[in-house]
Amino acid sequence: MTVQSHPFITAVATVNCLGAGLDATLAALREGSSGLRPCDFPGADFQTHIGRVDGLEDNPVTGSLARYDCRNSRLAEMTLLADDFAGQVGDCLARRGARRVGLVLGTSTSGIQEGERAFAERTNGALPDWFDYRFSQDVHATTEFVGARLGIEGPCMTVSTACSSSAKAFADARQLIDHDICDAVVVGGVDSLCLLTLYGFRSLELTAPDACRPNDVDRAGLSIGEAGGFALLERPRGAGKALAVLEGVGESSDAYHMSSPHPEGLGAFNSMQGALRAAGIEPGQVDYINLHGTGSKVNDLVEARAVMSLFGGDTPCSSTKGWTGHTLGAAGIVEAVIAVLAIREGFMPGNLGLNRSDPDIQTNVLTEAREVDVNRVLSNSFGFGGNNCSLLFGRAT
Amino acid sequence: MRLWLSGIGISAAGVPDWETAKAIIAGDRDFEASEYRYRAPELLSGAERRRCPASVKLALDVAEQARIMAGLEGTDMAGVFASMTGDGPIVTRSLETLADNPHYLSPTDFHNSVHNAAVGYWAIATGSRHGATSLTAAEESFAAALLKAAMQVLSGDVPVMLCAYEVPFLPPLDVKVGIPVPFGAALVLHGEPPAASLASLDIVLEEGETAPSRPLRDFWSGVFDTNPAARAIPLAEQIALMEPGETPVVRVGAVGSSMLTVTLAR
Repeated sequence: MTVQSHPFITAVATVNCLGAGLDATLAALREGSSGLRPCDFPGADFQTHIGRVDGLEDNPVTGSLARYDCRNSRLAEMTLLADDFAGQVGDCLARRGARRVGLVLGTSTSGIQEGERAFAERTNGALPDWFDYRFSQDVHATTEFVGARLGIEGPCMTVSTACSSSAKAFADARQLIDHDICDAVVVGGVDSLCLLTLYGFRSLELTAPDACRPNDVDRAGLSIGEAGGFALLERPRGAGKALAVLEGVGESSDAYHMSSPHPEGLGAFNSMQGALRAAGIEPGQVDYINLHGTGSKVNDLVEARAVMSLFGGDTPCSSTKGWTGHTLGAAGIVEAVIAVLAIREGFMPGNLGLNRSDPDIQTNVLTEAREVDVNRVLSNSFGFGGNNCSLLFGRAT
Repeated sequence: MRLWLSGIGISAAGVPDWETAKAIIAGDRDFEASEYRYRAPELLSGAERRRCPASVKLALDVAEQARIMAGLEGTDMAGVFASMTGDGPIVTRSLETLADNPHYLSPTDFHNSVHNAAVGYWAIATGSRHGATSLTAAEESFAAALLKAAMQVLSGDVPVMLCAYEVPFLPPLDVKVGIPVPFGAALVLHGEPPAASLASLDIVLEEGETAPSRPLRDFWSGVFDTNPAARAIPLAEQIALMEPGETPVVRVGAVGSSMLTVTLAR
C-alpha cells in the first residue's frame, strides 16, 4: 500500500460532565474546575465520585427513532446537537454522498441500563414487555441510531474493546479512508453511567472514594464518568478546513492479564511507539501527551514507566480524568477532542487532582495548564484485555 | 481487496471441526443433530481453562483450529474478533446480580463481561502483542469483520485471525435476544499468497439491493437464521466445495447500504 496523506479532522464535539459543547470543556480545563461529584446515580449505593451528564433523564429520543431510546442514545443525541456536529456532518454528506461516509463508534456497555431496569422489574422471573434488547442494550444499538439519525450509508460498525474502544475507532476510520471505501468517517464513542460499570470497577477495588487523583502519590482509584464524543475524519481532497490531522495510530496487546496491565508497560510502550512510527516522527517531536491516567495505583505507574522509556522525563504530559472521570469506551474520543483543542488553542491542560507527586512517577506531569504553541499531541487509551491504542494528532499545515 | 486464506475453523452443534464440516458439506458424511458441547481451550492454563466464559471457549476453539491449519504461531497474527453479543451468559448473570444484590457482583464476571474478553484471552493464550480488535455490527457483524480484517491485512505486515462467535444467553434474557444455539468460525487471512493457500478472496462492496447468500445445505438453516456468526456458513461451504478453476461468488452481508461480496478462487 502506498503512503497516504493524513486524514483531516474537520469537526469535533463532546458532551461530558463538564457540560455540552467544546467551550464548556475548554473553560473547565483552563479554570481547573472538575465535573466530578459525589455519586448520586440511582441504585449505586457506595461512596465514590462520578462524572454525570445532567439532563439525560428529561430528553428521550423521540420521533421515528424513538425505539432506540436509552441513556446511551440520549447522550449520543445530545452530543450530535453540541456545536452543531450533526449539521456539519450533513454538509459533508451533501458534499461526499451518503455512501462515501462511514461511521465507527466505540462503547463498552451501550444501553445496558435498560437491561438493568428490566431485571429490576421481573415478574415471576420474566422480563417486562417494554424491554427491547435489540434497540437499547445491544452493543451496536447506539451506533445504529447515530447512523440512521445522520443518514450515513457507508460502513457502520462498533468497536468494543473496553476503555480503548473509541480510540481504536480512529484506526478503523483511517483504514476506511486509506482503502478508498470512504471519503469521510464519523468516528467517536458514547458510554453512559450504569450499575454494571460502577459496581464492576468497585468489585475490582478500583473506584476511589473521592474524586480521582491521577498521578498523585495518594491516588486511590478511578472516578467513573459518562460522555459522548465525535470527530469528522475526512480525506484531505475535498475536505473543509482542518482543525488538526490524524498523523498516526498505534495499537498493541499486552498478552498479560484481563484486568491488570503489563507490569513494565510493554503494551503501552508498543502502542505509543506504533503511533510515532506510523507518523514517521521521533519522540522529541511530540509536544504533549494526554495520558490514559485513570488514577489507579498500577495504571499510572506502569504508564509512566512506558512514557519514560520512550520519551524520557522531559515531554509534558497530564491526565485529564480529574475533570471528566474515566468515561471508559468514550475516553478515547473525549481525550482526542481535548488533543484537538490543545492544538487549536495553544494550550496544555494540567493534571487536576495531583497535589503531591509520586516519587515513582518520573515523567514531566504538568501540575498547571500551559498556554504555549502545541503542534503534536499523543493520546493514550488502554483497556481491559490488555488492549492498547495511542493516537497522534498534529497541526494542519 | 485481495486476500489469501491459509486456515479455517468452525464449530456448531453436530459439527465440531472443519474436517467434519467439509465431509458433511461434500455429502460424504451425514449430519447428525446433537447438543452443542463446549471444549475447554487447551491454550489456557488450569484455572482460566475451566473458568473462562462460554464465548471464550467457542472463540478459542475455532481460532485454534484455524491457526493449526495455517501452521502459524499466534504471536505472528493480529486479531479481528466479531460478535453481536459478547458473552450472553455472563451478561445475564451480571444483570441478575445487579438487580438482586449489586454488592455481590463478581470481579471475574465483570472483567469477563467486556465484549473483547475473547480476543483478550486469545492474546494472553498465544502471547500475541499485535493489535487486536473486537467489533460488532449486530446481525451484520461477520461482514463488518471481514471488511475490517481485509483492511487490517492490507494495512499491516502480519496475517490476521478473523474470528466470529456467538453463544446463547441464559433465561430470562435469552427470549429477548433470540440466539438459541452457538456458532463460531475463524479464518486466517494473508495479504500475500501463503505457502499453503486454501483459496484467494476478492472482496468488493457492491451497490444495489441484493440479499446475502444462503447456506446450500438445509441443516444449517436454523443456525444461519438466528446466529449472526453463522453468516460465515455460505463462504465456508464454497471453500469446502470449490474445485480448481471455479470462482464461486458469495454475498456475505450488508455493510452500510452495500453488499460485501467475495469471489473465491484456488
